[in-house]
Amino acid sequence: MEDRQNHRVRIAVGIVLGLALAGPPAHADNHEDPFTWPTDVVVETGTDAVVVEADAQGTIPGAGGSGGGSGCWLDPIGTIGQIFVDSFEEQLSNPDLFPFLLWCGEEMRGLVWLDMSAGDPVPALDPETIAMHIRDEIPVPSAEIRVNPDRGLVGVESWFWIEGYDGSPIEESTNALGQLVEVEARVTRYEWSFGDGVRIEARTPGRQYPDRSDIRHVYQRSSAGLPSGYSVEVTFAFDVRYRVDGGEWIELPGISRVAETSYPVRESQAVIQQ
Amino acid sequence: MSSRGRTLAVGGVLLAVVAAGLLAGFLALGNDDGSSGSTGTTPPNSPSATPTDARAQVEQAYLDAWDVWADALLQLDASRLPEAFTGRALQLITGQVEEQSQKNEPVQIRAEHNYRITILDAQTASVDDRYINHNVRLDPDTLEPIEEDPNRREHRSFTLKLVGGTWKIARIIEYG
Repeated sequence: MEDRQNHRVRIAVGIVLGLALAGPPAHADNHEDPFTWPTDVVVETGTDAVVVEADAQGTIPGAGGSGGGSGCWLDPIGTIGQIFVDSFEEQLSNPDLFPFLLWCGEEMRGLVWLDMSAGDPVPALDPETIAMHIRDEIPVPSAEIRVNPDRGLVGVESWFWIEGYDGSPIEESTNALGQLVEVEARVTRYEWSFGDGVRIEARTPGRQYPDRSDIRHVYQRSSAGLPSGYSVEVTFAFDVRYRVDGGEWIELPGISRVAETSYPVRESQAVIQQ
Repeated sequence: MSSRGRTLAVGGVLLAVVAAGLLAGFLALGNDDGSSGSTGTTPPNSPSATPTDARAQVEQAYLDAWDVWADALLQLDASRLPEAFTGRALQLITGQVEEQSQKNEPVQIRAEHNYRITILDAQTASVDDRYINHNVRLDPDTLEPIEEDPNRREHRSFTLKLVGGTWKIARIIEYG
């Protein structure tokens, strides 16, 4: 039992945004299914795994924000302040039921009782798995693509840069499992796509006008025929690492995030007057 | 003491015993304020009983929330839901009631509860309920059921938060 209590629980996480957006579950529309409570978190227990599906919206008042993370995990509870078992059924007095706190991001969503009679249905959760969950939830940097001039001109250099993000490392952490897991994502390159088939790679976010940015492009054709103009994208390529309780940094597979904007480009024609 | 006097004295004693028995019976009933985890949807009628400990407060709030949910679905009126729900649970249940209202399809809520209550901290509690679901959709005109009683066991874990001094359901976890 002690081993079980010490186990860290791995869960597969699915994001069911549809549940969040649609409100009540689909079975509310189907009279073949009994009418019941709408939920945003489903815990599926199997013989060898526990799967949690949770939406990414909402927090419990007073419990703090979700920290941008929607990854969920179960944390076994060694001690609980007060438990009141009100049951006349053998089912609820089953000594094989063990309590786990359900965490999603930094929010403790509630208590889950799992039947451990058939053995631990959940493999041990290692810090790398936690770090990978955090890594996967790292958002697109809060940044915008800026261009000068606002409307491009064929044959004239356009200068691009990223505003709102200076390339600083993005850091996320959790201590929900009793150990501090820190994840750091550091951007290593910016991969630009200008929408006309031309791509370049840069090491900096560019320079803001009136400085001459090192991210420059000359369009050869206008964007006529494209309702909003060329689709300009920049892909942030991150190297990611994590550490546990302030220990050595350990590399994780990198990630990328994409920001985009539309950029109209027109063609100016010279008029010869006599 | 005269024979009449003895009769009156014995009668008085018997009357006192009966009155004491009745009083004890009422007190015993009054103490049975829903501590059982196996109840119907309607909480025991003890409006004068004010729970003094967190566990009793959570239990009463939980059963009250079922009533608020039931009233909302029967009346197709979501206005009272904030009294018993908060956060994400309030959003979801409000959406559910509004959807039933749009369909003009009231629902009768009834359940046989079997729950355990856990106080997690001063502001957080959990009620794990393996209840038997007897909810049925109703005809809006006759309020007669339009489907059979599912009579099915469901398992939910309700997370309650203490908001402004009132316990409210904030999250509902479904066991698949």
